[in-house]
Amino acid sequence: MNNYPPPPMRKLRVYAFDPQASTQLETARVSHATIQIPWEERWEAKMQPGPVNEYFEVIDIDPGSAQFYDPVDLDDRHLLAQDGLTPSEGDPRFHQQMVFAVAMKTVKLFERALGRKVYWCPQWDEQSNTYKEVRKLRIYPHGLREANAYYSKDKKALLFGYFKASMSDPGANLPGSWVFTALSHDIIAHETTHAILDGLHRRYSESTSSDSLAFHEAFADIVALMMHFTLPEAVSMYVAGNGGSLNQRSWLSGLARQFGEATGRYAALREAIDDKDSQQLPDPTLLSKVGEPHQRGAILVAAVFDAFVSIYEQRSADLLRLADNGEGARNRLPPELVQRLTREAIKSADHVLRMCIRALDYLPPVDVRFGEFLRAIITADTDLIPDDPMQYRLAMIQAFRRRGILPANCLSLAPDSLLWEAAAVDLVAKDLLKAPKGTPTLDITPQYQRHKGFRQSERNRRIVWHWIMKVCGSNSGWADALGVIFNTDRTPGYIAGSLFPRFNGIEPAVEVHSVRTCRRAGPDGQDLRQLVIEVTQKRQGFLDKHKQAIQDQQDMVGPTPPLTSDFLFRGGATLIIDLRDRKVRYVIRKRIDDEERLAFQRDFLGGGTDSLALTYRDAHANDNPFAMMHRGV
Amino acid sequence: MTTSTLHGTVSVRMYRGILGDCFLLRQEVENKEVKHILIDCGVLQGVTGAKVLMKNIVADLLATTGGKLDLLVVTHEHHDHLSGFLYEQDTFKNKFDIREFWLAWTESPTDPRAIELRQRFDKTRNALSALVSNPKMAGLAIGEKPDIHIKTVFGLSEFMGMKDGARPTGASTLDMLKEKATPARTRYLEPGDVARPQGIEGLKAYVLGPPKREDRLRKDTPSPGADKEVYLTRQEDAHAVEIQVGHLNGKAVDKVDLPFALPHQRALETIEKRPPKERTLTLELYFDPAAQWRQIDDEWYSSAETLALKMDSDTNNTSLVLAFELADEQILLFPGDAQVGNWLSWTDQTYPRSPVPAGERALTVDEILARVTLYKVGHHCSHNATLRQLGLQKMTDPRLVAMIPLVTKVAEGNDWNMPYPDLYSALNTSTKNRVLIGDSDIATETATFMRIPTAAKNPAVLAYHPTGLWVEVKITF
Repeated sequence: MNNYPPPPMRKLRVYAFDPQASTQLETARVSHATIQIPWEERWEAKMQPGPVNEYFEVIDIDPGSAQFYDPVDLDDRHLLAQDGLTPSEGDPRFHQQMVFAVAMKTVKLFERALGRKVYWCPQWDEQSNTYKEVRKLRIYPHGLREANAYYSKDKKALLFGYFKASMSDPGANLPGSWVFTALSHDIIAHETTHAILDGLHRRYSESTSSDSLAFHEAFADIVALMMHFTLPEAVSMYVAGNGGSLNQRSWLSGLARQFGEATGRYAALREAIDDKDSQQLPDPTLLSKVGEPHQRGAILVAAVFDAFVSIYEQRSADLLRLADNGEGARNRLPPELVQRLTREAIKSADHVLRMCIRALDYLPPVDVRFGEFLRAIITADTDLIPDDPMQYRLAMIQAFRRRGILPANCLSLAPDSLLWEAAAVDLVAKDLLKAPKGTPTLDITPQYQRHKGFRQSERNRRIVWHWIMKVCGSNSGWADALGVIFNTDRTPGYIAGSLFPRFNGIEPAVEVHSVRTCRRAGPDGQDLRQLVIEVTQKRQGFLDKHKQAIQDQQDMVGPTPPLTSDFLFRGGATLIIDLRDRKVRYVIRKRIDDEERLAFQRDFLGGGTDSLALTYRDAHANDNPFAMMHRGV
Repeated sequence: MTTSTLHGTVSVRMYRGILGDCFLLRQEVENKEVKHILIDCGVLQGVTGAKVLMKNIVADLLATTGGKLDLLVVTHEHHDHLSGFLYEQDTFKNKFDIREFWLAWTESPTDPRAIELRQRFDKTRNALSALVSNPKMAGLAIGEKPDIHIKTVFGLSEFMGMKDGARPTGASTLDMLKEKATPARTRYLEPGDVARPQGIEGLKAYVLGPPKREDRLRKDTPSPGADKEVYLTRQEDAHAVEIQVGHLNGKAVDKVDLPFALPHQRALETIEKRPPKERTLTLELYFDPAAQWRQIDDEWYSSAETLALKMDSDTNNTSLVLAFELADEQILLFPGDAQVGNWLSWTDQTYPRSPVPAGERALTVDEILARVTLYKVGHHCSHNATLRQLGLQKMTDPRLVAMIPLVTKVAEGNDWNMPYPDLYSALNTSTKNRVLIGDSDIATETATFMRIPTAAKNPAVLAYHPTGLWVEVKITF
């Protein structure tokens, strides 16, 4: 009955900074921001009170105070007319609105950069021994009564905490006031990113090296930080206040202060960025000296931030030169210039963010390292934008190099050497995309409905698996490319004794971890269509080298029962297949029989951690790795 | 000033078979009375036959000292350092005479910082005690599939003497001892003090800790975690746990503890009872049986565990750390269960601290550590109670011997990482395998000691009680 065209965007007001900022004069003007998220498509789930939509269920139960607050109805006409509720600390419905808005904004950012829909990590179902789709992520805006917020992989939920600022030691908060982590733009973005990354690479939450958990934290921090720079209100204030220059110290001290009051996590970041010698250069040996995940992660974030600053400086150099009548003019920039510079900063942040997000498809399926992230950024960017007139890639490389983040096995740091390797042998995924009659074909038609897209990728996983079993068993080029072992032949490098058998009990089990298609558009009309296949395999790992050797040499399925392993060692590869000519462009591989990597993981796990909790007990499957890190135990 | 003409022996006796500290020092000098120093006396609740063990130990103490304790030291308020005094309080009250009693400044009844600290600790202990006495929680901690967080809380409660719902006993035990020793003979020591026991000649103790600086007291783990900058005031965490346990006991939440004003409050009890027509979508989603795995009512267990861990660590960090200097400048280091912050604070002052009285030379902690010939390993050789680079590695005296009061079986039974393998092997390296542990094989230990004696002349001599009740290291000076 209503035939008005739907609006393109839904606008929702949020706090740009920590709400405490609205009590401080200099930030009072800009404490509110308006987030725009696309209006639901006709085929998407409708918005319901909660808010509950296609991606999220915001459920406002507060076990800490035994309360269950009323859900906000964002479609109520009073709210639609004023861009949602006015930001308020005292109304739980606004809290629901804010977590929803920032979480949706994060999701849409990823979808735009990745060129496909975001799916949450599926839940392992013990009874049916399969993964079950998790269509909507839960968000609990008041789920905890502590100064903490985390992503729970077990419950596929984001939990935000709240607490009362202390009367005696409140920091910058009003003594005795309530502080809600659900009102921090940065914390919401950070936690949502954990969930999204977990959906893309669910094995990254396993602790296999000092880089692995650090990467999760660092990536979430990068997204939160860069997203902060996409808020025009926040950025223009900084630009005006700093005369157009984005010198790290002044920027970050402001940012870090807000983060610090809420979570304390950005202390490490502040140190990493400020940790420079007299020539304003960071210490490249720092990374080799620190093992603690937060500190390592902070170095990675600092590197990306450095790159962002360089890119911004390049983009704004001409504007500043135009404006530069003399040094004195710097501190009073004309408002139009502030606007232009703000736009440049926002654009730079947006570009850096997209470079980092696109790189996620070019990473191995397990055991990620910082150096590999650099290679992924460069490869992903080169693929989409072959010409780099603004030297974004060089800015990235330089920033990473300055912080000592170097990829292993690279000849040099020239952009060409950093690209991932192509397959050793020319591999064409012929049968996969044009299957002979009778066998099911890979379905790569674009799916607009999200749950149908999920089902399509599940079907494709099965098809790819059958194809791999058929083709790769026989063709050693593929086996080599994928870095997994397909048969139990007793070759010199035999290790099948520690592999897990398939259902048929004959060959080692190989898992097709995921199959995704992506379609990306570049700035000059480039149209990139790719198929990304991730294949993994698991192997028993032993802390004792001799036990490992013994188990490796056994028959995979034999009379002797296998020893109980100490940890799981995973290997596999990500294949990037160009859908236009069906060639395998890149192979990003972690070999299952890489003894050096196995020894590295063994040393890392055997070395123990400094965690307080682990004085009294060993790590447990039910431990939430994200929660434990945020609590500092 | 050291009296270089004084010669004799100090025997350090570690009572074995207990997961707890009980150390007796006996100084024997020619033509002089034997002097006795008792440092802690406790056994963890979870050790089987704990009370019987303690009875035997105290009987042995009585027999050896004749009831005369020239100096009593209690390092901190944990059950495994205090329970002996509690279990055998009649014996202690009636048969022992305490000449001097040393405690850390944190136990002082008059120091305002100490009072504030104790208030904070009390609040947390009460919250944890409430948790531990709740039957539902007790049920979660045991059985085939216990909740690991609650289980850890219960494990830690043993260190506070709260097993089986008992109230924490540390404070009352200390009060009993203070009363017995009388205030006149009780001293509260501060870092930088050089304390000389009144009745014992030729012996003095450098007081290295606990630190007076708040940030040092708070520092519990070796790595500089970023979140340590924000002090989650324990009050809040303890209060949150108290409220949660209150829910379990059916207690309604105080109005002042609710984050939102009356118009927005929606008590869960009322909401749950709403008829189907009035239930919101989110309510249905949350209580949907198929989505039960996504409910969050148990998320607070891990924050309770965090609270218990931090409480345990903070108490350990208030340990009194004494470096006894013998007449020939050897040092016997007794750090209680001091954790990283405490260790790091040792460099904050000189010994004695400035201003240094005329005629005395102030020592730095490095100089003290370089002379350590006996190290009582902190916290049963757990990973963060012995600083490596700035601690163990500075103990360079070739005569170094280490003592670990530990029963590995009990620790393993509780899944505790004691002795921490990395640290244990580092200790063995530093002492050339002269590590005495509370549950060792006596023959092996003796043989190891004979293999590489501490010194060519007057080496340290080992002795064992006939039934293995204690092991003694006799050091000559």
